[in-house]
Amino acid sequence: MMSKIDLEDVEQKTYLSYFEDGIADIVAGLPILLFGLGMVFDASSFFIFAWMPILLFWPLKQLITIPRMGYVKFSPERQRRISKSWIVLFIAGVFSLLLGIIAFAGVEGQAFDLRDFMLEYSLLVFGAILASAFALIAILFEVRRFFIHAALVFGGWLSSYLFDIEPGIPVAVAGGAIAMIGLGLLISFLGKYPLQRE
Amino acid sequence: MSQRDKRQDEMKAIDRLDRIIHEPARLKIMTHLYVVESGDFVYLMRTTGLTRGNLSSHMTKLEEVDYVEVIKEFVDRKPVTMLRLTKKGRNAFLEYRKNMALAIEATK
Repeated sequence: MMSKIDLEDVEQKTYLSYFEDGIADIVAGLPILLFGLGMVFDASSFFIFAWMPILLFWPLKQLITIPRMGYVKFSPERQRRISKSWIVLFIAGVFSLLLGIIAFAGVEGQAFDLRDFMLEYSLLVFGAILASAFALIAILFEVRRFFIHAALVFGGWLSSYLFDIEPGIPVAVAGGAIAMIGLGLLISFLGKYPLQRE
Repeated sequence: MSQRDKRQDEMKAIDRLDRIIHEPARLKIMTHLYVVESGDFVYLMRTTGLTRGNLSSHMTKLEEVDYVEVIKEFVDRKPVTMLRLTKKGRNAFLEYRKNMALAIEATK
């Protein structure tokens, strides 16, 4: 019995159980939903407040997840992997930002003007960057469902070009779908992990 | 090592099984503490399915043999009682796994 218990598998399941609450999906989906709604209604206030749900991530974890799952300090190896993942995400973010700056500061009149391309397809480029961020999260943090979110985000932005529809609508739908997936996971999580009685 | 010696060693492994760890509830505790650095009571109650009272009693036994230690920490300015395997506990767990594998071989 004991010799067949795969400790790596136990560790992996323990780590992933902390993502079962869907909170990351909700706080990732809501900004995209608000961004899309801002585009639909042409309301700048939506853009200003769109990022704010991200601030709810840790308080929601403290309020919902920790009382049900408990505090855990993962193994040093896992902690190193998590730290490395954040560093890679940060570098990818800075790289995207630099790429954007270089593209906009590019010289005009070249055979392929990156700035013109960026302006023409700005939303698509933004969607691709966001989708890449989701895919990167899926790979680095081993939360595979973020690949679905990446596909939803890129599909949302892409469909606005392909079907010539108001860009905000598919973006809002993609963000709403991600938040709804998170909400579904949260409901299932609350049922699966009731509060531990004293 | 001859086949006979190997067989005898496998049989002896049954005697070497650590009785403290061999108890199913404590084996669960040891397993779930082994895969992390430390965890609190709620984490162990959830992963082992034990009640607080049961968990406390098994933790006392594991503490007595110095396999588990209790650490008081502050997480987000709140005091949390964390439990972790000592070095002795980690070694004992690995030894138990090795002996268990041999014991299973012996009974094949």
